[in-house]
Amino acid sequence: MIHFKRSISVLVLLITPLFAQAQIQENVLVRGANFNPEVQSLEMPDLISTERFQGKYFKIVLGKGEEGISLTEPNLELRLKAATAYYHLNKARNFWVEVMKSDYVSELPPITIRLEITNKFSDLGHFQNESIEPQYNNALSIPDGSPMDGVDIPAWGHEIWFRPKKTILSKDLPGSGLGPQGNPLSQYIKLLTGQVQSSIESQMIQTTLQKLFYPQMLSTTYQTAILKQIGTLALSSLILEGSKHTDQLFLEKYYYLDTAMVPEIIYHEFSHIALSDHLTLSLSTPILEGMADYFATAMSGRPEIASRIKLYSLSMPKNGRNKILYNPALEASVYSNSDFVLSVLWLIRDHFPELANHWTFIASTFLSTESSDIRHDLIGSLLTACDYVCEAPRLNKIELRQLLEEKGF
Amino acid sequence: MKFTPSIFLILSLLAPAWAQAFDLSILKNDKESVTHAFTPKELRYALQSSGSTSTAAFALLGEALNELDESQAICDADLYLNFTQKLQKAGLDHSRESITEWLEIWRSQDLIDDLFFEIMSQISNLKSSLDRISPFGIRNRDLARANTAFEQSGLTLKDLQESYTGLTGLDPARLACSPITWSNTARDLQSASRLNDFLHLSNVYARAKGILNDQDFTILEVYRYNGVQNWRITLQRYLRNLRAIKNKYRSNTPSAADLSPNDLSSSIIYKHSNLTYRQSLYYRFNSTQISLISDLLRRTFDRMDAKKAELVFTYNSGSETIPISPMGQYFFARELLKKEMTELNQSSLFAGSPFTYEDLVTAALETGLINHELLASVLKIDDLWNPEVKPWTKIANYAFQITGNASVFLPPPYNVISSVALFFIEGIVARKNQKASQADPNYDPF
Repeated sequence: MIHFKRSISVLVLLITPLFAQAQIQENVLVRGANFNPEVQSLEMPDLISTERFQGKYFKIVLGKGEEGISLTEPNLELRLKAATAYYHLNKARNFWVEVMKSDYVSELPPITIRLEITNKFSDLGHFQNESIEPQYNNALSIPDGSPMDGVDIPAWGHEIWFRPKKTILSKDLPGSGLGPQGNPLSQYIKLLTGQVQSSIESQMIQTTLQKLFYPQMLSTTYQTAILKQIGTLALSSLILEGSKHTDQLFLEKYYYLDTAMVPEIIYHEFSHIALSDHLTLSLSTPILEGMADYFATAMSGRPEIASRIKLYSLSMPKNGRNKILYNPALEASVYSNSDFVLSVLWLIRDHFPELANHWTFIASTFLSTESSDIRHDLIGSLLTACDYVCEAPRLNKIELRQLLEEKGF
Repeated sequence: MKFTPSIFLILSLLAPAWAQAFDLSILKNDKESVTHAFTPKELRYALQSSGSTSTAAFALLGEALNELDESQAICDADLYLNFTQKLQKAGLDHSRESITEWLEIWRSQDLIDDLFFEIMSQISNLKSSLDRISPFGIRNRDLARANTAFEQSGLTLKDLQESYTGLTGLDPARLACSPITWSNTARDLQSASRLNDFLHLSNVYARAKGILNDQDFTILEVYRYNGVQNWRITLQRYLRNLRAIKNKYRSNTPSAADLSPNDLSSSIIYKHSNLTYRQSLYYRFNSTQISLISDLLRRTFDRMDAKKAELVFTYNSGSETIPISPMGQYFFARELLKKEMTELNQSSLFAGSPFTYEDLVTAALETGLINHELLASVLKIDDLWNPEVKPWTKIANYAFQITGNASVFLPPPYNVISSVALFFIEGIVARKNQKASQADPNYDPF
């Protein structure tokens, strides 16, 4: 009897968590046909609460709070956001555990996800004061940490912070969101005026020489000819200068980004956490962001990030098939959000679809957030990783180098 | 216990034979995916008439090679005569036609390659001519011309005697290495005169002076008539190259599956010739040269794959080490390859027979350093100094030509329009071809 009672109690203990994992459906924003967003009613996986967005692996909270958002939250926009974040984070976790076979991710403790948080992060005190530069239109993965000695703040684990959306004018954006070469019109006019100016300079020299040696050959007076040529020079310079102020023609007038509502951004942020055993979350670099971008797109299966989702993102989306060529300026942290590294990794994906995910993952283990650059370290790590994943390393490495050469390296 | 010494005795007698056995698999074709030796129609006919005996004949070829190999000096004629004797003994047809048909079948089965096919065909044709020929007479007119030509050549009678060393006392039943000797003699003699028929006149003169007897004269005239002096490859050279270089870098056993329809080895070099890159390699270079050529690419691979590359500047007061980026390492390795190719081509070893990048890739295929999978990528390495002209660039070049002429010949102000168009096209082409190294003045390749 004692044995029997023990067996029953063990059985009850084993069954209890199964009951706790409630089968709850919520509206979730997902990518549908042609990558267009659509809302679907989907099951919230691995919930351990029947009342809140609190699961085995993620807890979705509002702002600085610690309690999960209610599953019956009356603010439907917030509820949709919480459900979308929760659903896609679980999907991202599954990808890292089942496809990438990451032991690090499978052993991660539950992660707190903060929505609508505007505080800046402090590695000494967790949250900075609300009054210090409130943050909007972005998302942030933060490393686990503990406060300074003597401060009454509990230690925290890995967290992902999704900022609220705020509509701002594009012209107020730092760096205008365009590449280092400026807007396309400016690039084109620069090219054309360079040629025109060189031609005018030659004509001026020719006119002057004709005036000195063959004045009878001049069809107009020397002064008129030179004046016309100087006028053309001045006009072309003016047009060039003017074109530099037309950035807004190539950008949407307004900018906003609701990061918790864009599946690829949710994947991106989780990828930061998944890669953080090697690529620590200490600062934002082109490599760190590019790696997270790549895995975000690997999960969605499309090279785009934050595209075709105007209700939640009106910005310059990223594209893994961007034809942008390497430029040393792209190494700077200012261009952390450029899609250049993503486009390098997609070049590999397009040519080695079967290998690309593991190739990139292994390459990431040879990189460091603080000291790795694109030209030396990213390429070096990809070549080294090829020795581990490529079927014919010598062939694949030569192919990779030839692809990278076409990418401007 | 009694029989133990006799087993040892048998084994000790057999051991040298085993040790020197000719490995027929070395002849196996794993380089040429396409044959240029015969047509499909010829093969169909060969299979019909000689298909049933080809395996037995191939085994006899192996035996013939095995026996000759023991003597360490394999000459085309020796192999051929030995092989035909074995065919005779086995009751198989040993006519030139049958042998050609077997060669076609063996080649189609990749048991041999086009080079061995050529070697066997040329000696088979020669032997067939020798079997049919009657003694040649000397015409008085030829004798008179021979006297004049010999006087004009500046050669002495002693020179001529030396030239014909090894070509006297020839026996049609045992030609040994005389075709090769004739080939060398002919090369020397041809360099002494510009006359097209100087070889014939030399033979005539040598016969008249008693250096050659009637039989020698007839055999050498058959050699000359059959173009032995123009043979591009001999068995000796072929086997030496095979043993020294073929698949020397390969760890696994080659198979017919290694052959790719887009290989370089059996590609024709020029549109209207039958010469393939592999044939060209074997005709022009010996095993040492092919090894040296192939090693250039091996070193390039090693440099590309090196874990780390640095550039060290040593000054009077210390030194400076600059790390080279992985792509810089790749470019540097390619530049070094170009430099080393030039240096090797300038060395006395390659005097008169410079090699190209295609030769280098063919040599690397031959040594097994690369396989057909790697071929396309390796050929692209050459783009650095032989860039492919893209259709777009061709169109742009044509447009340059027209607008360039227009800007000179059109009257003002229309010439300005064409000038602007010219600059516009230049700008677009510059953009299309731009790479980081050109686009950014601050770009450094390392």
